[in-house]
Amino acid sequence: MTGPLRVLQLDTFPIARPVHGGQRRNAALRDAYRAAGVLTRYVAVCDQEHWKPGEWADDDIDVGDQVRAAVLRRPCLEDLLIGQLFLHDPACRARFVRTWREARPDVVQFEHPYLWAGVRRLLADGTLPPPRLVYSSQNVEVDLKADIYRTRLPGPERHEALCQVREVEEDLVRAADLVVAVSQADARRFRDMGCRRCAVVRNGGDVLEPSAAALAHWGERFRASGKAGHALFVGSPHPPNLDGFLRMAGPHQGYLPPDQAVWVVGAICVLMELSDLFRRHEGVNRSRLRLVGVVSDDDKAALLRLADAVLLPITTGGGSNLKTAEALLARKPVVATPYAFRSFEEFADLPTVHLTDDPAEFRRAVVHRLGAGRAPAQTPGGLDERLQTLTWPRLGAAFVEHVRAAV
Amino acid sequence: MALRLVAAPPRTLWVDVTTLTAWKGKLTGIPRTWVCLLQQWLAHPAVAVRLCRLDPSCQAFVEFPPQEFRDWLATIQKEAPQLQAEPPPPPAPPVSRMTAIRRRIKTWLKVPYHGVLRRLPPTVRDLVQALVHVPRCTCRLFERVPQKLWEIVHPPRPMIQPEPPRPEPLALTAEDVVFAPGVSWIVPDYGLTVWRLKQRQGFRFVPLVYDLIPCKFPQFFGPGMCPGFQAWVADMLWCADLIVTISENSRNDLAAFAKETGAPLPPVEVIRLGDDMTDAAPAAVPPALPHVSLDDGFVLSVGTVEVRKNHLLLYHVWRRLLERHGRDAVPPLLIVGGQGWLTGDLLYQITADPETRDKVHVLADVTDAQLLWLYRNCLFTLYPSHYEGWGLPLAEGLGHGKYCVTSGTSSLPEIGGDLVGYHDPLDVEGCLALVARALFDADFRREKEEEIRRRYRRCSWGECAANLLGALDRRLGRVVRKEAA
Repeated sequence: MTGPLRVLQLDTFPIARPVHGGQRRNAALRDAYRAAGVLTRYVAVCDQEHWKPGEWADDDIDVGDQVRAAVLRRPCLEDLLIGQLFLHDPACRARFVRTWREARPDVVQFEHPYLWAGVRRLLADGTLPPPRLVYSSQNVEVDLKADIYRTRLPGPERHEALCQVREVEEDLVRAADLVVAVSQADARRFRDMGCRRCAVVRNGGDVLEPSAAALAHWGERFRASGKAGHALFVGSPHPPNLDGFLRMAGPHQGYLPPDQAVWVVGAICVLMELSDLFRRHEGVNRSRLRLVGVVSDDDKAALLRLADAVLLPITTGGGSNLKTAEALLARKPVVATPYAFRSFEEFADLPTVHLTDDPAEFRRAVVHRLGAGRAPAQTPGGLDERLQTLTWPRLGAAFVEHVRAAV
Repeated sequence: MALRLVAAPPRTLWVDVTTLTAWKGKLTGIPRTWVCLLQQWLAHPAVAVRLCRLDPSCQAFVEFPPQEFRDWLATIQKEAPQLQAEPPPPPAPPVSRMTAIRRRIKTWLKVPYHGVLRRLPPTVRDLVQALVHVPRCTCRLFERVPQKLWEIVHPPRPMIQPEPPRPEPLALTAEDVVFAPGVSWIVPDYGLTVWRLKQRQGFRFVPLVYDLIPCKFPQFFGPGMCPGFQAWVADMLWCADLIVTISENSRNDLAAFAKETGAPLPPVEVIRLGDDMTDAAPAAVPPALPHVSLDDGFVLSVGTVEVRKNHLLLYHVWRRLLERHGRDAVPPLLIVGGQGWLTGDLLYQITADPETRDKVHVLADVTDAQLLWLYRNCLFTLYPSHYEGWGLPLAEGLGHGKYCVTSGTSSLPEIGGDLVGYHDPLDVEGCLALVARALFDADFRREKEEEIRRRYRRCSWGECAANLLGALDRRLGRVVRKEAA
């Protein structure tokens, strides 16, 4: 291999404006590659009508109407259908092949396994030259989808869809020159699937520094609420996020005294408001929850800075959680489940961390933490070495080293 | 004999009247309960109770002088049930003779002026109007300019209204008990404010939670009310050292709510409400009902005309009765109660339906004395409510020795026991059968009335107030008493 390493990252969602955990991870790895002098292109094969202008970049490829129509019939199978059908659209196929040939990748990195269903056909028929393959898994997809499909698909269809997910993931795991897992537990699963080389690089986070304006704005909102204790829960509209919250910290918020509140950030607010359990005692819930919705990174940083505690009530879902890394990097008191600390086990003994998988104890811990007064303000910088290992620059650099070693 | 306050252990009983004095009109339901309790305690020579309210400006309880409460009560009792007639408008100030002549000329000229204007070409019309208006504007200018110049030279002093004195927050301590029997769920952040005050001052807080009907049946209320009520109940469960409620059914509802929502459940005391209505003598004659004769008997249903009270069922039952038995056999049904909510369609149906418009009557403005007459002279009472916290009208009817056909839900069996007839609130035929028996079987009715007179135990407001005081003594420590020196 002469010249700098060339990497082509592929996934089914864009990262021009990263919001959810998967987007932020993909963007962090891209940035880590570039920081290491690797020529990197990120290409999302996605339904661009699903995203707003500015959320996708020039390299991203629209799947076309045929795939769009198929996804409309079964939205929960979006990534599986994109992977299986994107080559059926002539324009999409042509653009994909052209982009690949322009990138001339030494390494093609799959952030999720779904596009492998189409790519392997292009490699098999000689359309594209074979590169080194890296599967940068964010989860064990077949396990994650089993949870999601359970509530979204009828029985026979669910089984068929899971079989297809298992098949494409296992095929990629066996074909990849390197599989990077986010936790030891995931790595064990991939070894069982037959991967040849596996490394573990957990998810990380960024040290978020809010602007003075955001701090002032949210400080005023906190004051105006009249509450004395504020907890923060951040979540995307991913059903396991809601399931975890309802099980551990809900479904009804009467366990919080009148002067405590949980600020809920992210599109999970929409799922929450539509949930029958939430609506059953909506008055009680709304008096103790502040459903903020999707906010900018600056606002999220301000909320994290001002909160007295961060809640991580994660009980299902794969991979490891970026929010755990962010909460630890913010040095905030955390009330979490052990599940939320997968791949962060060495931080479980921090005095500010309370882990439990018992819902009653979880709620008692929240009330106790919020009643203990304001969490001391953290000065920027000053992360100890242990926490430094959670930052994306460190983790990204480790990731790149694993890739270099494998190729 | 001189009176002195007992010094120790002192527990001052404060009654929160924050939302009471905003009440207007006839005292019914919660305000009536509140007033009856207060009247008993304020009149009792041995009870030292003080009044307070939550002041929004200082976010604390402040004292409410008992005389203000008495003045407010006197106003309410004078106004009820009929609102006073609107006072006549004040007479117009006299105008000068010249002004009167000028106005008369203007009136005479108006019609011919507009008639001529309409016939003129548009340009000429505009010119004429402009010329007419110029003198008027000029006159106004000449009136206003000197005034403005004067104001520039001698600027008027701003009217400084003296600020009303800020109320002094009460320095409550752990020795104080605040009893809140009102509708405090309408006060924004009431629970949060009381919680914060309790954390600071340490007083004991005792809310009276009548029922959880808005939590269980939001469809019986207009939009927007129920979420606030739910939040209030959760806050009361947190704030209360003791909760007082008015039936075992409400106690069970509170326990279920606490369990479902995760809120703590403090001790709950059930107090029976009084069912004596008034000290006044019954009216000598019934309320005036043109073209309606009550001589052959009538059936009475008392309660605010709101959807939860289920007057819809009575309308259907009366219609069926009239169809099956004929108009001569079926007496009038009198529904006595103020206008509530979500019943506009039903009231229209009752008055527009040719079958019921002369047989079912809704009376909104009935005095206590008239209501006494109605209770004493009715054949029996009806109370088909979907759900109750207690059910005062059922108790009042039984207190007058009258049989009742009532729904068998919630707290109503706690009042009626086996003395009344029960039906499902949605069961027209079931209610109809009970009503028909009570109407047409006079022996059955007489037997029931004798049994009620023999066995039904009334409860006075004096007893209720004493029981409540006893509960506070028992649960929280003795409240302050006045004792003879």
